[in-house]
Amino acid sequence: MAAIVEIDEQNGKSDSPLLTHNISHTNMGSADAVNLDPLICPVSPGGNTCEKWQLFHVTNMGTSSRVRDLRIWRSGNLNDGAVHMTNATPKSYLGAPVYTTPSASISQVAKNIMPTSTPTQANLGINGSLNGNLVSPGYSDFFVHQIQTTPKAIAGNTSTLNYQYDEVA
Amino acid sequence: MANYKFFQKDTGQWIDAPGETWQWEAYLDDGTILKQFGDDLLFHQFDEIDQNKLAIFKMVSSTYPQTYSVVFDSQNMKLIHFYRNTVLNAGTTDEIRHRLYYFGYEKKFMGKTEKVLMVITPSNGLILTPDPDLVAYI
Repeated sequence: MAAIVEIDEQNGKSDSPLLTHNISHTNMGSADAVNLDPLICPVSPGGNTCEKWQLFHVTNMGTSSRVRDLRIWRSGNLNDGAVHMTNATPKSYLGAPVYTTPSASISQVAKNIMPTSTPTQANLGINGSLNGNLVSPGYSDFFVHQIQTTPKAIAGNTSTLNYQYDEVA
Repeated sequence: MANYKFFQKDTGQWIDAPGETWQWEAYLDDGTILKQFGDDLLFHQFDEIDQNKLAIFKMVSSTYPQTYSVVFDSQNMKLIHFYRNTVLNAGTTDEIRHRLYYFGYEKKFMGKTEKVLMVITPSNGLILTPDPDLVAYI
């Protein structure tokens, strides 16, 4: 049995966070809300989505001994100068960020451009390191990301997330 | 189909181990064979392979007729085997999941560590590469 993994999302104030397991999707919008509807929480042109604070979660190791080498990237187009920013990066990784209340201001944590193709090495850490391993059920570092738009932004572009991990059985 | 079991140390429970499309078999120089899905109906982990005695490492499949083998030099080679799992378009109706099977070895040569890896793709293609990260989805 392969390891069972899911994506979790944490929302709410830093002193009273709420973790949602196995989220349905990563739709982004103006609100700090999991599984949100962007039509209900739209972003005004020039504004930012609220940060997403998500976790790669191994809920069961199955027959595996190690899970490692986490990579996250996006595909699809972001037009009109919009940028998708993240803390995930294969270079100068700053370690595991400490959860803070998700913000729709320019993120102070997501400062790298989200890759648009498979990263050539891990870009999200485990226990603060890109070389980290999970040898029992557990979490990655927080994966923080935010879309920052420009005043020219128009509705209609779609971007999707992809992820990859290695497993030794 | 045989029902393989695995003892999960972190939960202290026996769990079912469904078959893999590609499974390894380790042929040791003392004549014994350790199979990932063993004749004892137990699932064996990669770390159980005694690489000091390893002669041949095979990838076999109950789906495909091919067998891929690495003739092993236990004095100079270190065996590598892992799965690379990819989830594309996560959380959408177009979500796609792939599992690549990596196997091969690394070897010290002239002071450098060189890798030779083979990758079995979902369509049963075989890719030979010195760097696992050269095989990527765009």
